Amino acid sequence: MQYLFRAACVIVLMLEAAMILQPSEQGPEKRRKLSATFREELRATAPEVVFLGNSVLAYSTDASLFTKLSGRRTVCVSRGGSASAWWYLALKNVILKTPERPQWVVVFFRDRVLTDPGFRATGQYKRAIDEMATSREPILDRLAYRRAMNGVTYCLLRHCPLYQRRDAIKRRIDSHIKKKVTALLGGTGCGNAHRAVRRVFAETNMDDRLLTMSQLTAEARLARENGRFAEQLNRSFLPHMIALARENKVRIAFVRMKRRRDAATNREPAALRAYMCALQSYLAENGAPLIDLTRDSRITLDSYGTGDHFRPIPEVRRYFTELLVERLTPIFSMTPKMIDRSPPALAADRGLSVAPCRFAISR
Amino acid sequence: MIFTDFRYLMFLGMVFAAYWLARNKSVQNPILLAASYVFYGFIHPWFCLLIATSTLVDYGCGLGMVRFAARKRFFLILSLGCNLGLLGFFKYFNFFAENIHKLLCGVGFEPGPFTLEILLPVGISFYTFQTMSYTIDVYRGKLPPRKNFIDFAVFVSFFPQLVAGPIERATRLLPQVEATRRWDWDKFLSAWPLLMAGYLKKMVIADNVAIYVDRVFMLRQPSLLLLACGTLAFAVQIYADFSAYTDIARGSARLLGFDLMENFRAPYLAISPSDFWRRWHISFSSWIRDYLYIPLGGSRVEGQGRYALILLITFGLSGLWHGAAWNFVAWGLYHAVLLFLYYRLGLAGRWRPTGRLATFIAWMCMFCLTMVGWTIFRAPSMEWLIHVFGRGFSLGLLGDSLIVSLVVLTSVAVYSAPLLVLVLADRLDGRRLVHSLVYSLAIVLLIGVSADSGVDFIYFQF
Repeated sequence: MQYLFRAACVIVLMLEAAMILQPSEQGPEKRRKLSATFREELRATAPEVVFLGNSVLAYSTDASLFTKLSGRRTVCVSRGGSASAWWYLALKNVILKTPERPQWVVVFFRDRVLTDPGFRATGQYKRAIDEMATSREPILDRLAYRRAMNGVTYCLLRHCPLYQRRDAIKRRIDSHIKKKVTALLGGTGCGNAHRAVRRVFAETNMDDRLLTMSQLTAEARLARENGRFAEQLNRSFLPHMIALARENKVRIAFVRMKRRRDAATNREPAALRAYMCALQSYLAENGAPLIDLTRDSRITLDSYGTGDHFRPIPEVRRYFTELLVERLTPIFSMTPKMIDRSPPALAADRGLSVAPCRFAISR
Repeated sequence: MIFTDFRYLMFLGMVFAAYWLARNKSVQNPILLAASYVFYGFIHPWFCLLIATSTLVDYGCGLGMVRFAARKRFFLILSLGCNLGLLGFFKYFNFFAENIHKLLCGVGFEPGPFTLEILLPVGISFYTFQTMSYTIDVYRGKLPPRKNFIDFAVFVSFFPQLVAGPIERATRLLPQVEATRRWDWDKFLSAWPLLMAGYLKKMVIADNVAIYVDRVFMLRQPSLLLLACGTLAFAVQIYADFSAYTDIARGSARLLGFDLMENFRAPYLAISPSDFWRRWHISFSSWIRDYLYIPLGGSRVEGQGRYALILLITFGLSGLWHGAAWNFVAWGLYHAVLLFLYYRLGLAGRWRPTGRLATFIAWMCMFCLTMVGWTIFRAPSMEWLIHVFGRGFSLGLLGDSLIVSLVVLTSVAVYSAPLLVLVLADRLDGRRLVHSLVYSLAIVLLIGVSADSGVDFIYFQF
């Protein structure tokens, strides 16, 4: 018992020392550089349309070309690795906070990401979330953390500064290592080593097949864990995003991006088909158009680079942007009433058949 | 349920409380059995059916061997057939189907591809070997068959070691299951350092080192230097990861009054291939020795050709046990070749060099050879390996490759420092304040430097 008691005392002392050395972050205001950049861009451009998404959007769409072709000023607000938590914050704290609000916000998503609030909200992605958050985010806290985590992890995340700073500590260790290596080779700072790491592990140097496989494996876990739309909906940011847009008189639309899997096999798992059907019905009830690109045969396997990213070449971006102009322009020109009345037709236009929905959402 | 999930700790806490409240073996064992099935079924409920089938078959065959002594061989074949059949179907069906398809295409036939979407039940390789050891021992007359089904089922499914070993022998674990277990403070206290070391190795060392390992082995054409550094990092990762699982398993078992066998004994200090296999994954290598290598005649063979053949079979199958891919087979065969070469040089068995310099040289050689083996093992596929070495690789002794290699090496050194501290702490037996400090530091590191939980243990896939 004496041994245990002594160990417990030492643990408490060490934890306290660690907390003093790594003080708690007083809210995420410290890291607002990114949200400020987006806000600045939105203020300067005063866009009519804002595209919101992650790296899939960044790789595939050229906002300035979209502006030119559609005649609507368009800006992309995207961050690699972001998901619904980040999109919700970007909508609430950046896009809707600009003096001149856009008419349309178009959210680009893949499969079930819209209704998985905990997806990419913790770990290495927490920093990106903090960049967009204010010091009080009760909905984010409830949906992305409290419900998505077990009690112990949540308590650590909320009340243990050392745990909160986990990623910062690891980044600091990494930066220190790079500094040492740079110094060893006669340089200063960590710039050289950092740049070398980026160059060597650039996406272009990766084996396409392995990279794709690792991305698909990472997302397969998501597909296994989150199956049914009705169960996921109320735990997700989606109703909040729609409500926010409605309160601020901004129209919101959703574009489901075609994944490599869809281009390669054209076989959508039955559970996912049911999920998408339910999502479509829900969005239709709420006057939010959904464009499902997964069955657009014009997006072929050649368009993909690694994973679900399009090839980073101007021709592919141009092609996809033109396709997007074609698909989005009819929606932009519709009045809210028209959209409320005709969502199934929008998804089923141009011969891109959508299976008739047999699912009703009980809310 | 994986050990690094907080739910496991809650589960262990509940089992621990219920188990010791019961006090009586006749209640404790059913609790253990139920807990083991909950633990395994948590991953996928259907997996329970498989382990139950395996348990029933081996229980029945064990009894059958005694009851119908004349048909002893039949029961052995039945048991081996069922166990290996399940293992073969769930683990190797697609591998063989794909390869046969490729082969037929190669000789001009064009059959349609035939693969099934099979979910590999985790731990199947481990508990299959464990139950097989029981049937073989009963067949050999080393062990009387067990009549108490609950006891036998606990032996097959004992949750701390169910998914990734150690592969316990029936002769060792069954008597513990059958014995009355009394609360022992020393055992209880000795469990915590093991649990702590396990979590530290997995979440602080293995998962952080894995970041660079994954990147290096995803490159299309890594330089030789970078590949060597990536392999070194992998050596640390796989040791920390796998020994972490063993430590947590042993710690959990000790909390319940059981003693599981040691699985690692400083494997990277080995001076020869046979020494390496006496130190690495001991429960598996000793299983292979006792149930495959010796029955094939490896311990008493005269001719060198036959000895080489036995080594190739034994280690080829050991490699295949690790995974349904050619690089695992190649890794096994590579070790067979090493063992044969050392044997030819007269350095086999319990050989030890004389003098420090000779020992150092022997260790250095074996360490480098082990690293070559890990390169084959970690390669995403044989095609990747052939592609990397077949395209005229660069040494990468300058420029970005050198810088990144140094970054990888330094990261490995930094993250594996706690491993050295643990080893040193273990040597300071009796100094409890030092132990308290080390394990407190481990907790601080677990909170502040651990990687995200949810990364599976490497040996889960085997």
